[in-house]
Amino acid sequence: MRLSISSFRLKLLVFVAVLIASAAFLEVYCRFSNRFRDPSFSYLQRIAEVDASKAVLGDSHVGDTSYIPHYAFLGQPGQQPGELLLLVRSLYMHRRPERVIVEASPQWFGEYHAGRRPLLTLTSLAPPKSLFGVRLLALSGPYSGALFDNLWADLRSVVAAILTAAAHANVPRPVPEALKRIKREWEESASNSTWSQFPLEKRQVLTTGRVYEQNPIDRFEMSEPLHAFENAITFLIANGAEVCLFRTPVSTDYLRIASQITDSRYAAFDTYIAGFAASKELKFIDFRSLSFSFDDSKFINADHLTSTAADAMWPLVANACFQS
Amino acid sequence: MLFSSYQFFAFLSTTIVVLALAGRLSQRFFLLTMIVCSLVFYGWLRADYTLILIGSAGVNFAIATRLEQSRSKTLFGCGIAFNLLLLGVFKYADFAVANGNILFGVDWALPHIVLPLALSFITFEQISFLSDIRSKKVARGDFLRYFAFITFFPKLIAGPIIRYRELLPQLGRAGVNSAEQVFTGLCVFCFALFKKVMIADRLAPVVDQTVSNLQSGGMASQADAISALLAYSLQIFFDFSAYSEMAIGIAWMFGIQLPVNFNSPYKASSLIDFWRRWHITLSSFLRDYVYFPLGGSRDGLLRTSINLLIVMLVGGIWHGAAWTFVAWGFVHGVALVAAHGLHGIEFVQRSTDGWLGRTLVWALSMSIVLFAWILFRSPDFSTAQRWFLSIIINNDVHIHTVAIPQRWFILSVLLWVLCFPNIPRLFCIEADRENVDWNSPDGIPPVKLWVAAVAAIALVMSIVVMAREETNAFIYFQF
Repeated sequence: MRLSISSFRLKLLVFVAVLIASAAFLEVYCRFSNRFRDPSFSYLQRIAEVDASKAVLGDSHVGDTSYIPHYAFLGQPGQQPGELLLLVRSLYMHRRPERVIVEASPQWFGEYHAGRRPLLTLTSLAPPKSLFGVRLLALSGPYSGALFDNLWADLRSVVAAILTAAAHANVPRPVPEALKRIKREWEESASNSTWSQFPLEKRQVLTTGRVYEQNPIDRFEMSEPLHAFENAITFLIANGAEVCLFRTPVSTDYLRIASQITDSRYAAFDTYIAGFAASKELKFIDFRSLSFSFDDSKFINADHLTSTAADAMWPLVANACFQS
Repeated sequence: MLFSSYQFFAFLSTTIVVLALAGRLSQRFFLLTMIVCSLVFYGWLRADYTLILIGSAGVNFAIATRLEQSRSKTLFGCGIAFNLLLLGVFKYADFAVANGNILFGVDWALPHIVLPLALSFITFEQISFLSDIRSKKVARGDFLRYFAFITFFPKLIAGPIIRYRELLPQLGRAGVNSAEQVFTGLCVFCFALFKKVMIADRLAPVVDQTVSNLQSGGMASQADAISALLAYSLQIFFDFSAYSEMAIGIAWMFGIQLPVNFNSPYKASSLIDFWRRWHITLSSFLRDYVYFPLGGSRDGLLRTSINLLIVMLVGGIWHGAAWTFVAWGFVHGVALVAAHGLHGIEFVQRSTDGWLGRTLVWALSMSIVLFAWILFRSPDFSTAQRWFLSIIINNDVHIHTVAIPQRWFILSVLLWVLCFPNIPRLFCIEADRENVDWNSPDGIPPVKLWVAAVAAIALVMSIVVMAREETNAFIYFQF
């Protein structure tokens, strides 16, 4: 009888130990596996973990590198207003926003979003379930969805590596921090890294293409993305945020071409955003009003700043938004 | 509430604690608390359906009270009619009206009555209860015990179909009796949960995509059609056997043994053997309460064949209100008649003695089972026809619905089914209900150490997959 009781305790102990060990293994795998180094995963992880009481929200013009001390920068290439709405709801459902700068640029409503699959969805933004206050990535929608496929793929790679007996070295994916640092070093050191160094005629072709892509869609004022954008702002205000709208910079050529293309709706956007900001009594900062020279040497392409320029500009934006 | 949901985990943990406390007070209080927990479980989504459950149980118990005294054939008939009428109204009203419209050229509106969960299963349990009371196989007992039998939540929604005479003796001793018993039940549950969320739910998209393509008028490539058929055969097995085994595990946590419902059916040596291993509790219900009362095999080959056909048609229509289910039952009925006929021929018996003969019989039997699944899964005959044609004709189809990794997955699962032991064997649970002494069942013996360790891994993996919150409802919930 005594033996049976101790045997049960041993089984229970083994069960619990294996349970904890395998859960820990899967969580560690989610956090450190190269297969989860994909930018979309790190973005979702940042959203889940970042303190966004002070934040800058937008798309790739905002990016994920913080250029204002104590501000979380949350922006992904191609992010859409519907995603912005889900993002603010997810960030501030249980947390009070303080100061939030929201990108207010025409490309929110650009035609290039048509058919694009959103990264931020209700499932992907559902906060990971917590255990004793620790948020477990393995129990969040996107990680859970990809976990066993990735694990299986890694297992296959390991088997393949053993079978080929190191016949050739596998090139591992570089870690994001290293990528960011080297990219920055290259931008700072290389003489041909800025937009101004790119041949003018090529610049103009690329800029024109970009301007057409980002031209707000026809009747954008009545569109679903616009409602999502306005709802996101309204949600922030209702939750007590001090909101500032900011039109992110583009090159001089971009601005010129934007007024010349067929069916340009950039001017209509300017009118709309100024009216919307006034109706909500929000401060709206247009990049052109900043005391900063936006010549082509500050850009890496027609509508994205270099890291150095972004470093210099964003504190000015914060000042313009909240200091006066 | 799905067994494979976090909600259920919370419910189960609470129920174990509550019932452990209730059991300390008295057995009657334990049963009463178990009934309340079961009603919470059942009424989680539609509380009003618990009224149907209570009403139906009340009427059956009242009839049983009279039957115990009089054994009246008319009263028994009324009891059966009441149960079938209830099932008919909720399950077959649309089917009857739609066919009436076609037959009589009228245009009556479909009533669109939603089938309450569990009604099909409860109907059979109540019929078996009335029959057993009438034939004095079991004493009626009090309503509390009867209602605990009907509502017992682990088996409530989709079986295993247990009989009153099997559960009643256990209710007196039911309870959260020991930590080891709860732990053993938990380990069974973990394995079954893994089968549901890691296998059945992963096979579902393969089947759904192919069937959806066929339903919209397209054809599938031969490889896709075969893959989808194999995938569905495995999906329905893993889905339903997982539910049954979860029920067995949960019931054991409360000291109650439920009969095994699946015993490696795809390893069956013949079609007759398949029906002794697939949905065993339904097969044995149909055998004991339909086939035997019809005369069974006592009145010659022709009568036996007709009886078999009737039983399989009843089994078919029980699964769903559609002609495809009737056709599925018919195919199995005809095949069973043929199997029984061939079984009686000495030459055939001798030819199937060797391994080659046995393998051929297995292959033929499984082919019949697999092709019949086409009828079972297809929403209509034209989809079934296209699926069947896609398998036998090599189409030049450019749209592929089953990816290569999915085919490997199907193959791996198939090998698992054919090579590995099933859960009853892994946990040393008696698979043949005839060998269980239901007055004092042996239950599930304590698990082995390595089984406990694997169960822990299975639980972690299942919990991670459940975080996606895309778990499909169990297939048999719709029946």
